[in-house]
Amino acid sequence: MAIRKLRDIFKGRKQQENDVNDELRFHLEHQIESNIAAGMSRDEARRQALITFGGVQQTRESLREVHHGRFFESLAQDSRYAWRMLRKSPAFTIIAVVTLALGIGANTAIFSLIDAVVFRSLPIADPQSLLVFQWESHKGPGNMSYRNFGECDESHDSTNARGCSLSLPFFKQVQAQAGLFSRVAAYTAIGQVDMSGNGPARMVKGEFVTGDYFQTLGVRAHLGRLINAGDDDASAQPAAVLDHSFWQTEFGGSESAIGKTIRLNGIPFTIIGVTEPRFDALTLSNKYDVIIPMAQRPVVVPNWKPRDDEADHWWLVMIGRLKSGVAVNQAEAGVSLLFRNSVASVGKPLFKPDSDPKIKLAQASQVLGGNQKRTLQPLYVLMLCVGAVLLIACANIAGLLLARSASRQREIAVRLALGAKRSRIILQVLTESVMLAFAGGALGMLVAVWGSRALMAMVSAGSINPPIFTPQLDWRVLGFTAAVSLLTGILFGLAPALRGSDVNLTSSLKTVAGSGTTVSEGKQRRFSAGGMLVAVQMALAIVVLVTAGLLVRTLNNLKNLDPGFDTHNVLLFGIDPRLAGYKGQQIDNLFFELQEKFSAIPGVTSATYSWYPFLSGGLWNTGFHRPGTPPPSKQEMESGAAEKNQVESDVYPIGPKFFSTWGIPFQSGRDFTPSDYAVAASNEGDKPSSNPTPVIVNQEFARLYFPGKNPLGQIFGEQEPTGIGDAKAPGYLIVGVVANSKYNSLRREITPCFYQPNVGGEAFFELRTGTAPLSLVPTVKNIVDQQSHDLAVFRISTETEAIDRQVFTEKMTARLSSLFGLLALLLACLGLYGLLSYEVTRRTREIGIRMAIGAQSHNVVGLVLTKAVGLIIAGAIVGIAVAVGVTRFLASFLYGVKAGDPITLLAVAALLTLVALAACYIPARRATKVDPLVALRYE
Amino acid sequence: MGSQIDLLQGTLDLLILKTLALEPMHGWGIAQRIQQISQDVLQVGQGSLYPALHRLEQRGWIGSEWSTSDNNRRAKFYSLTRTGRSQLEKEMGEWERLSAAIALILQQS
Repeated sequence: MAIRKLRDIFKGRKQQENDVNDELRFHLEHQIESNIAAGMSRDEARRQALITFGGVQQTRESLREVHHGRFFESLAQDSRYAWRMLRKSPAFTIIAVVTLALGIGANTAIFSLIDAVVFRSLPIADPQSLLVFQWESHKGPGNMSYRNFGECDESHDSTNARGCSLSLPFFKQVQAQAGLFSRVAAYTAIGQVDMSGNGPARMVKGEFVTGDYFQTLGVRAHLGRLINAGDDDASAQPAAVLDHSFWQTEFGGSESAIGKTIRLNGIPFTIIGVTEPRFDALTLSNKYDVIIPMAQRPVVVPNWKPRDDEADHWWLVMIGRLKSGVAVNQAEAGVSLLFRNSVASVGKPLFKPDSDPKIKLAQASQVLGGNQKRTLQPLYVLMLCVGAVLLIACANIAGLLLARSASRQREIAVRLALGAKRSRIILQVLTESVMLAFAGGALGMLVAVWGSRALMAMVSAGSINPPIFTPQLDWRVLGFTAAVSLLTGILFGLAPALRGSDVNLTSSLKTVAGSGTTVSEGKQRRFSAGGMLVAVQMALAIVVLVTAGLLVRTLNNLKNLDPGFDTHNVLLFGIDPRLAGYKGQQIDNLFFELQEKFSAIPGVTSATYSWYPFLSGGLWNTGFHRPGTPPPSKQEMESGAAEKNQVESDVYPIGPKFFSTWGIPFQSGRDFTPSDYAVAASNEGDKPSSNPTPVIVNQEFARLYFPGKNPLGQIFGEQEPTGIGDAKAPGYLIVGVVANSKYNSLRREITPCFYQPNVGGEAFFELRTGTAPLSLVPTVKNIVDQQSHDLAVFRISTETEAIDRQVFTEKMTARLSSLFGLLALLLACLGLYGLLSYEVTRRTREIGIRMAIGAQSHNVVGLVLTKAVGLIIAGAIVGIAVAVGVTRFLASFLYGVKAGDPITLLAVAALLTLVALAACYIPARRATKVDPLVALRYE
Repeated sequence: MGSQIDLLQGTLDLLILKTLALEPMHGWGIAQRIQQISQDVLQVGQGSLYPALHRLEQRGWIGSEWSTSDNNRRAKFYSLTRTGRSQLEKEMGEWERLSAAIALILQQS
């Protein structure tokens, strides 16, 4: 029977119609024949047969009903009906589809981006089993050199510190230890490398890897071969591997690149291979162009010192794969023991007592997110906003459908009375909303494609190392979108459908003829449902608006912040003379020379340099014993007793005229002189002089560490020798005090800072200009090139750009959330407007009667407003409560404003009330225009 | 031709099932058979016959098959299915109870 039905369904409409026609014709012909047999003429027989036979067409119709009266026929019919209904109210349809598309599209775009980063699978063999060595301790290490380059999510909180940078001796111990790991490798970033030998010299990103690196990852060569253990030896021929996309762009993807010699920081390297294309990077933001063996560090890294390879210098990331049969916790216990031994071997305490340092073997895909995870945080905020907008859109459409089904209640009641099934009516209303949802979903897909590109641009524009991935709408995301749109359709369609079919027949039919004051039970309940939907929209709109408000205030606070220096018209660019072979004193002399030449450029008011420009990310701080207390003895250092007198300060290496160029006023004292640079240079090496390095401190430093004293002439930070490699350090002499200013970040609070002469390293020049800063770039490049052809200028920008980069995320989130906030407000008010308009129409007769018996305009307006104000207040109260709860999660984004900020809450509530009341104006006005006579004659 | 009686709703189904219990038949045959046996009291128009047949077929109580009729033409033959047979017994039982009950009431006055 079931098969027969299926056959019926799939037999095809045409075939079935033919069968019916054949059957009926057969019947008719039989009738004619039997009439002839009864003695009639042929014509008469035919006439009589047709009379007895009755309406053929009618029979056909009812037969069709029997066959298709079920699912398919009604579906097609419902769809046609829904299409007609939607076409009849194009404004409603367009609003509904567009809001749905925006909601679904934006959500999908954000979801795909999060998906691409959070659920990214590493581009290596068997990514699940690759482990990263992560140190963990209650308090972060100190008294040592720590460098991380954004490979993994680091935290140096005082409670739960962790990170991925470790020392070379520790790596060698783990490597030597057989039994736990099948392979162990390490890598570290070189930073900017000056590459020559392939066209003009340029800066590329380089990486050092140990010999086992590629084997551990299971990455293969696209061309040539990759680095192996033999290459990772100081005596081996220097070999370099190129990243696939770098090889494509810089070497034109030519096979002749293999065997070619390039110079990296002046050292010749032979290109031995190219990595396979799918291996882009372990950490999305850290993509390296050139990969060379770890053993080449001493020659490639400028100013490399043997001390860098000691156990208190942590700078490499370790990865490994366990031997089969070794449990993770077993391996962790083993390497943690090695780790603690390595830490103890340093001879000075790196960790405070009770820090319990250990090694965790974390899954690489979970740890190697780098700063991407942080880049994503704003996306979560946006997702919240977009999600709320989508909900509002759904509630709005539900409200509109509800009002429509309410106005169709009588029609539905009649149909129910005539025997229509409830399920049939629900199905019909559902068809309409599902059609809307599908249209919205389809359009949403387009929005998603466009939106993910825009978001991508947004995310990468904010960071110096743009992420390299291209988010694609994969099948899971598509499925997600489809599910969202369908669920939305069913959710917002079902409620009105159920309401619409849940009609009290008698009362609905009675209102047709009954008195206008009769309010049926069904109608009363319908209104509370519609009202609730509007209140929910109001509440959600408040949540989005409060979020937007807080983000906008944060942005304004950051933008209007005085960083303590003049940010306008400053040209920034970096020069690293070490890469061109300059050493020690030569570097300082070069900088002095360049500074003078730059100052002489017409349009340049003043020129200076520093190790890093303001607000560009670079931050350096150091610890020393509290000024005024005696320097700790070797015993105190080793026992950790010195800890209690330790204080911290930022360090900022600068060139001459730094403060006058930046417009930072001196409080007292003087600027650096050339002799100060000589002293600083003499203290740089392993054997410092006996003269303290002259420094200039900020006001905060003076206030905290020299309260009530004149800081000028004071010495701090002097150090007794602590044993291995440490000589007696002369400390620092304060020669000046300057006003406070921000350092690396607008958000960071003012902290104590001392400025010291910048000697013997790379530097960024800062040119205060009278004209547009970037117009001077050609002149600057010319001057640098004339100085030496090997010198390259990199990272050219302006201070304004640097600040823009800093607040870029804030700007985008503030703008987008404001956009969504306005959309939410608009939708919610649209919902309110719709509800009130409907109510005014419904109560026209009642209003007419009231006016006929003497009600004034304001009474009528009051009638409409009472309802609206109730809804607005209810929505606002719920919305504020939710907003206070939800915005607590925003705390880390906010600056100068707190999560539950009452001013923002009040402002948003006031804005919402005003706009909502404006939305009430039109229906209220229409109510006052009701003509009692017309109203009473109505219907 | 005596006076005709309109069929009660639902009784047509019963009559079709009963008629088909004897042998498979095409639509016209069923109508003729009902008319003959009821001695022209019950006349079934095609307008109610075919929808009823198709409905019964949808319910699975009767099956259908195209084959040649006695005058050598293609016709659709209906036959009773197993579920149709038990349905027929059920409906006949109900009919007897109903008619007996009606008879009781009518006899009283």
